[in-house]
Amino acid sequence: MQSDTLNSIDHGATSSNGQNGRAGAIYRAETARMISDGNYRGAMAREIWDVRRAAAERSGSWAKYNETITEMLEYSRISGQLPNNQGRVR
Amino acid sequence: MIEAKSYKGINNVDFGSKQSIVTSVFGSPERKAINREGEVEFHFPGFVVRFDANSEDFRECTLLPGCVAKINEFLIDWSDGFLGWLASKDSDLKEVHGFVVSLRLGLAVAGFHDSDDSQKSVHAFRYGDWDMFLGQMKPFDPSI
Repeated sequence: MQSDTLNSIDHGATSSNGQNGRAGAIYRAETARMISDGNYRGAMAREIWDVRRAAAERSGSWAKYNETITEMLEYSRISGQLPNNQGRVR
Repeated sequence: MIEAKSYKGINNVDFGSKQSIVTSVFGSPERKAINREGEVEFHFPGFVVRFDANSEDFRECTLLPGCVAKINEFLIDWSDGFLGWLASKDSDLKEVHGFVVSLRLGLAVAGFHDSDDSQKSVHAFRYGDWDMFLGQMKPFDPSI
């Protein structure tokens, strides 16, 4: 999720934030690896969980970015980055 | 004031020092935390000290905006011009995962080259700490 969609207080608590130093770089590397391995859905799920955790920690609301997340998921489906049926159990 | 020396430490606290040495120099931290890598973090006003997850030795100091700090006698002014100073001291800067890294100075910086104040920070690290990313590093051109 783009940092400009989060307020700076919540963004500071995300695992990928640059102020986390090497730990932030490791988190980013893990996410990049998931995407390069084709696990776009998994990478996105992890980011969403992390943003929600950060919002809960700093703003007291797990659901603060639900609308933004929904818009992001919708865009990802429309753009083809996130196939509709990927990972579904049949 | 925090005075960092490349690959040595801060304020005469060397990388590799134990937590007790850090608290003897800086006092008790405002907050302690454990990050995703299992490292203990001491949060002081304006800076964070991190300890190796295995050895528990001091391995990284993060300077945050507003912190009055010097790196090798250079006073950080927290403007975008900091990258210019960094480039003047290291003509082989690298970029990896959104960080600009100077292996020469033992520094990683975030939030300067992309003007993202919420990530702005300078990390002084122990020798070898960023070597895990060597294969992913790309040359960084501060003029772009």
